[in-house]
Amino acid sequence: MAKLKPSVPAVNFSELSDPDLLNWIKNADQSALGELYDRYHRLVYSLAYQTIGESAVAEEITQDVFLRIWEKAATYRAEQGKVLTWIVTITRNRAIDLYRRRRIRPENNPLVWEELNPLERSDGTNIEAEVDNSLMRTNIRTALASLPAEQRQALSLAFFRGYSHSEIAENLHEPIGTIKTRIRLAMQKLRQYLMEEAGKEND
Amino acid sequence: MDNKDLISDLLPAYSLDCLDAAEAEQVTSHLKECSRCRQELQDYQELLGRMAFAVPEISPSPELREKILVAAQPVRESQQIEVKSRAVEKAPRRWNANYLWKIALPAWGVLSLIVILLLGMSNISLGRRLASLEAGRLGFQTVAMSGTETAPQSVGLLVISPDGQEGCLVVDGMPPLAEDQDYQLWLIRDGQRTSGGVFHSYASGYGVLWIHAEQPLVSYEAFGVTIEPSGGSPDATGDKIMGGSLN
Repeated sequence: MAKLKPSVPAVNFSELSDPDLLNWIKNADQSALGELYDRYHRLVYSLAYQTIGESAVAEEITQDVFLRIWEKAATYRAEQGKVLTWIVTITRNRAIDLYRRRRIRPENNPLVWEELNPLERSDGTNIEAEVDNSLMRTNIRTALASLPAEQRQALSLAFFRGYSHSEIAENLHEPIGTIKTRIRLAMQKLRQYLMEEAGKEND
Repeated sequence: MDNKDLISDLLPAYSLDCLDAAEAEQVTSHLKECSRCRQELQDYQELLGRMAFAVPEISPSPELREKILVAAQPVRESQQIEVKSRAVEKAPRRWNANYLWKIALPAWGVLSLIVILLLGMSNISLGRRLASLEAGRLGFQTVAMSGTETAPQSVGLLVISPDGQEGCLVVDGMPPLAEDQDYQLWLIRDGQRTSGGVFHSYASGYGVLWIHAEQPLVSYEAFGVTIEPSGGSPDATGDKIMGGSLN
């Protein structure tokens, strides 16, 4: 394609924080959107793919997510959470909505939490961000791997499929009370783990 | 166990949206008055954000980035125009005299054309002739777009920059769209259509599209606008609203 609308070349978007990037996106700056895409497109696409199991549909979802960010950047409130959280929420909502509407058969798309694989591919463009992300990945995977398998399974159905307690109970042939307990314990344990990790980082 | 502990136990499932309606309602009303539970909920929501990092990582096709940036149009809603006008104070743009001069002159030109077009709506052909004269003086080329039988009230003016590369389309009298529809501009050469961008209009039927083209705009022979499913189509599928030819 020829040219996008010119942005001011003096601003190095790769140095901006996520909320600052959103400020630029709010002001309709496409280069800022490009930078946000570079940071999170793999996360968004991987999550969409994990839910839907089709690469073309996962790309559609990725496009929807970034265009929604483009249009709704002004509605983001930093006090309500991180940009990452906002992006993941939009992605999950979109992917789960599509999953429900398309009635994808679960057996075509088994759920996988990738467990504890700290070695990530890097294209070397943003070493600092890569290190941060890599640490985040390692920590959350360690935390997830530490959960009992049945808790992880119930949590996966809620996280990727958007199933309710009763749908998970039906799916796993377990009493609903058991499922409620598994989800609650899993989430509480993960929260505790990450709070302890944040405590260690602050020491 | 008091109410707060009970709610606290429901928060993990609330963040995941797996509660039944009655339970969710109970949590929602409690959250309005309990800041501690709101904070706890935020922790769980942040946790969900982190959990996305545990998904096996794969990459989409390299073309997706370009596709998204092309679809991201600078002006989509009236609120963004308002935000954009405040961009200079809010975002730390680094202006220099040369840059300002380069953008100010064409911007003024386009603005004056839009004003002329709007003023000329009561007498469309006079308005367009004036716009065309004014455009020529500034080195712009214009293409008058006329409404088809589907939308006889629709009019448009496509303004191409003096270097022939870029341009914008101003439209008025556009027919209303369904929730899941967009307008799409087509750049036509040798019978082949290429997308020039997807856009909306305001409730009044007025709209603007900044055009992104793979080739200089002057290299296309004709232009058309159709109604397409939201986000646009690879090729025109819907009703043609307006069209026009260069020269």
